[in-house]
Amino acid sequence: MLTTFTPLIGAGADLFDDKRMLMAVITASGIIIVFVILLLLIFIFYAYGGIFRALTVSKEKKAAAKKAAENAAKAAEPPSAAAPAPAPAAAPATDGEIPGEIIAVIAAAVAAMSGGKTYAVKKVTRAAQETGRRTAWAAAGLYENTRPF
Amino acid sequence: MEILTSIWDSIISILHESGLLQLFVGDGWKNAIMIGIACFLLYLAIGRQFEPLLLLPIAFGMLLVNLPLSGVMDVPTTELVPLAQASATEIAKYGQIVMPDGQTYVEVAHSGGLLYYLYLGVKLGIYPPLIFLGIGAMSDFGPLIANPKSFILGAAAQIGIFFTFCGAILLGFNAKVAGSIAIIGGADGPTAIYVTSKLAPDYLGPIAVAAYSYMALVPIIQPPIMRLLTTKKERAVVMTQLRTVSKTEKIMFPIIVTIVVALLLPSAAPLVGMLMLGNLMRESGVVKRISDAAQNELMNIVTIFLGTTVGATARAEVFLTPETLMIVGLGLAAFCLGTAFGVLFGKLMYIFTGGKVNPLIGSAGVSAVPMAARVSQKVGQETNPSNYLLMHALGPNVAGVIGSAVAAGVLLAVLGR
Repeated sequence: MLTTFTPLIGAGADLFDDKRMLMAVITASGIIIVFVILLLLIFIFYAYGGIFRALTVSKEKKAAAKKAAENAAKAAEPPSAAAPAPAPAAAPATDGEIPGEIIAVIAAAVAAMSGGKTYAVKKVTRAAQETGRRTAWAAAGLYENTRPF
Repeated sequence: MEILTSIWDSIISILHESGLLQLFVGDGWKNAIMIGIACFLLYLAIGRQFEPLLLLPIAFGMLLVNLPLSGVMDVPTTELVPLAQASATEIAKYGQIVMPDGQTYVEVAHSGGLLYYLYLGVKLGIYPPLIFLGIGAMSDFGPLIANPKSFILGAAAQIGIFFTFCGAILLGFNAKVAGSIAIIGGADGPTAIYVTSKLAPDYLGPIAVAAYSYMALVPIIQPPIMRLLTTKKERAVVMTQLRTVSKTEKIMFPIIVTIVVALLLPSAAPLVGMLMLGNLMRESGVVKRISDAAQNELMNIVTIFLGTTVGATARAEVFLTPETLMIVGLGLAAFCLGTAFGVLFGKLMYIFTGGKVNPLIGSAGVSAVPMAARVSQKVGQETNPSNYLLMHALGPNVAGVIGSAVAAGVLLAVLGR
């Protein structure tokens, strides 16, 4: 209840030895207890994370094995009459590392931004990556995920 | 003429009983200064948007309590009125009591002020844990679960609390007040209020104002310390992406933390328990309605009550003292030390991990969620614009909330006897 106000400055100023003891006890015990509890939590959550990761890996392995078995069963079936493949379109020149899907996405982005004019993507090359820097896609993904904060 | 005289007398009588006159009588000038301070804080909250959600109600509570005769924080009292002077209504309402002197009295009760009753939620330690419930419901502990090492940074940033405790003792404060001042270094408003309401309720006003002011000033206070203690190379470190945390892990986290912390340090159970309850409501996904209520309606209502009543504790006779200046200074020291220890432990982690940890995330260990994490992100991007430290800094940031609640539990366990 805020009815009285007692000035505390100077209270017990002559008890310097007791103060030193008080400071030492509170500081040491406080730091030790905070660290011990949080270190214990680190230990628990490392163990806990390890268990969960192991469980996830085991699940993934099982799922992969199941999928492989299914694929093998499909491969064993006799081949049906396949439709003739469409004639391949002229592809832009690449350095050989860029998959076709990515080139299609880039071409679609160029078409979307072209404003009705027709452009041809003739060459796609990978830009030099600065070490220690994220790609534009990684940065955009992170930005998207962290925007609420 | 007689009518004019009586009107004049009425006006004079009203003026004599008004709060305005009280500003010019005795220590009334102190109230005038406090009104000025409250208006300045209102300007900071509205004009500069410094933690407006809390600073605005705090400043308005401060304004209300310092308006003379407003009675908003008056304590309920009883008055013994001799039976002959009591009205029939009072006799019927309060009954008669016979005192040892043989006289009959009516014990007339006078209600307290509005904010006095609302303040009971602070005094009884109800509001801060409710705020923690809302914080828990809003927090994502995923980054902390993905990288449990972050706990160490949440612990390191609490070291400042204990060094500031020593500083406060050396400046002459008694142990309970020193503990309440030191907890400002936890950069967690509800924790500071909770500890102070238990240890030194008379100092609630200055400590709450200092704690929330520093939380608002995180983007100004922390960056120079962070730059001073780190090299450009350290600040440029890009940390590897955190692993994905499963829903089960997120659900188990609040349960495990509550059991461990409450078993080891029962005095921290109200704060940590409510924080984790809020988080469990969020992560379980089965009580979306009450999780939403904890994050929004409850949080907002408690914030209004907490802010206004804490502001109302800043009465002139308590606030305008040299101790307030010392509290403000010590609070700043606590905050700076917390930031510095966080960054220094971040540097240690940088060394031990062979440069995989950016030390800037250490400063987020002081709590102040998510502002301190945003500061880590901003300072990191000054050196490397494509660096996103935010998710990495949120780990120490939420660890800091747990760390400051544990530090509060230590102070309460040792000093609260």
